[in-house]
Amino acid sequence: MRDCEAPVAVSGERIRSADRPPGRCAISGSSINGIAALLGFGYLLVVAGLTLTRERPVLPFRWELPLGIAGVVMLAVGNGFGLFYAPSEKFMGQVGRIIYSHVPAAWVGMICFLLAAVFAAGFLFTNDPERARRWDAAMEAACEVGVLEGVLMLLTGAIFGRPTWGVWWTWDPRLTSAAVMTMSFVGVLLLRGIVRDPDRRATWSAVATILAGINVPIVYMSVQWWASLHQPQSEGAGGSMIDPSMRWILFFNAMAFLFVTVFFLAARARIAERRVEAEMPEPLPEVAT
Amino acid sequence: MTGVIEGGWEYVYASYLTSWVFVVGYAASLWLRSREER
Amino acid sequence: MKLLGQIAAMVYKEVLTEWRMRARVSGIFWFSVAIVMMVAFSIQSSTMLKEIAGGTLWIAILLASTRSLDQSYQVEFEQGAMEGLLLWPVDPIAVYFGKAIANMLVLLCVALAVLPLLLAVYDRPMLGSWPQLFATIVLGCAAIAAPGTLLGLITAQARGSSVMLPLLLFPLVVPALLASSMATSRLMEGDAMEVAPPWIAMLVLINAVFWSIPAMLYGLIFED
Repeated sequence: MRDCEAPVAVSGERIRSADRPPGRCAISGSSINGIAALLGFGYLLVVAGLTLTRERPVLPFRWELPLGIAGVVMLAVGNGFGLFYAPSEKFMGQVGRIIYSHVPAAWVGMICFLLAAVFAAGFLFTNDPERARRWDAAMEAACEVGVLEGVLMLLTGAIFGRPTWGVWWTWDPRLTSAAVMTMSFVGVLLLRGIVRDPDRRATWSAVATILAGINVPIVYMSVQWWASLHQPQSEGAGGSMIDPSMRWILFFNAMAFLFVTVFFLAARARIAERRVEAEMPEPLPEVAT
Repeated sequence: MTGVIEGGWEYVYASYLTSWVFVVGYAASLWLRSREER
Repeated sequence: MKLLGQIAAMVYKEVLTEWRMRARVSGIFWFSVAIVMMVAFSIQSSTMLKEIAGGTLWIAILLASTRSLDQSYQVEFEQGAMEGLLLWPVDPIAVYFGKAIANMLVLLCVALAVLPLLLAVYDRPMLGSWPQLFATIVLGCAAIAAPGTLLGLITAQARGSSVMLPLLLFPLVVPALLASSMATSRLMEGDAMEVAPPWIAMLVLINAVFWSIPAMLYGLIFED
């Protein structure tokens, strides 16, 4: 019953009791998140189990579609929470609500980037040509969705930065490495666009992705060093001390974004696989002996 | 009391709108592309 | 060690080729000079020119590298020499290091040739330590040449390569560019607070990463 009381937000203002009708207890944020996580990740586990327990890993059906729809619905609900239910931030006022759309995009963008590098390594280390095609298709999907999320992260970040910091852009480590990361993705996608031969395309873009992957921590470190020389203290924009009343909304939105992104990745990988199959040369005719 | 920064709703709307445009737009492009492939 | 012998042979072949094509190589030098002059014409204020001299040197080197990296593979593909190189029983790693070292030497020569011109035109007195500046330039050129040699092999075989190489290379070069131009600018100003040595150390780290990983990946591209 403790959830029925209006929380005193450390980084937000006290929610006025008029916001919540007396006598009705709101479901606590953590249980909402718990249910959503259980359903979403449980579904993923089931699908993964179904796929991997067969002898040839074949995806059972268009499994990503229900997840995508659920994700979009969750996103709408989560944005609703963020817009109307969340407390306003102590220093940022209403503008603080942007974190519910910016931070999930940032997290998911970085996950896509990581996945792209993993898939590239998977492609380069596999010997089976069909598996290699799968890895390549997955990598293509991760690159494209990563560009999408990366650009979204940069745009929403600029929209966030303008009212809070006063500038549209600044050269701090996170922003700089985010920009470099997104640019690297764009380069890989363009490379894939101009190379015709599928094998070369796959190999070259995998190499470019891995190079881009090892570059990101180096960029981050060097810009951090540079910033530490220029500014005596590093700024903690959107620091880690997020009040619980806001944090669960953030996680809810983040989960929603993650489900939507998984849907994007799976659907895009499917398209990529089909295109590669269409490009494959016809099998040689059987010779009657 | 809205805090140190007053208002700023247009930024919030801009940010949420951008997210939705990207998500819906990309989903639509995926759908169109999967129809082409078929 | 046999590998070292192969690398040395490769470097020798590359340098010899560049020497025979010195008209093309000098074109790269004049390209850098043109960049230096164009920046000077666009930025009218002389105080600002003094401040950006270090950074401009690196922009000029970077832009020159796109030309020189392209050209280093052009010879092979034009003359059909690539088949010969593939037939040679050589470890791809040796090819990589040979080409990368040669590319670095080209950039180094361009940088050292452009430097006096830059200092003169931008009215930039060099107040800091010359050995540190030399180390910065060597390490910076190396950090550009190393990933550029790997990417150059990819883009030389792809269509539209003139735009692809910068697009792929520049994100990889951002840390090196940052470190080199910071160190160069501070050194030119006298570096009272001794910030250059940490940047040079960072350049060493960057070089360690960007020489080793591409070397391992080069074989995958080379066999095509």
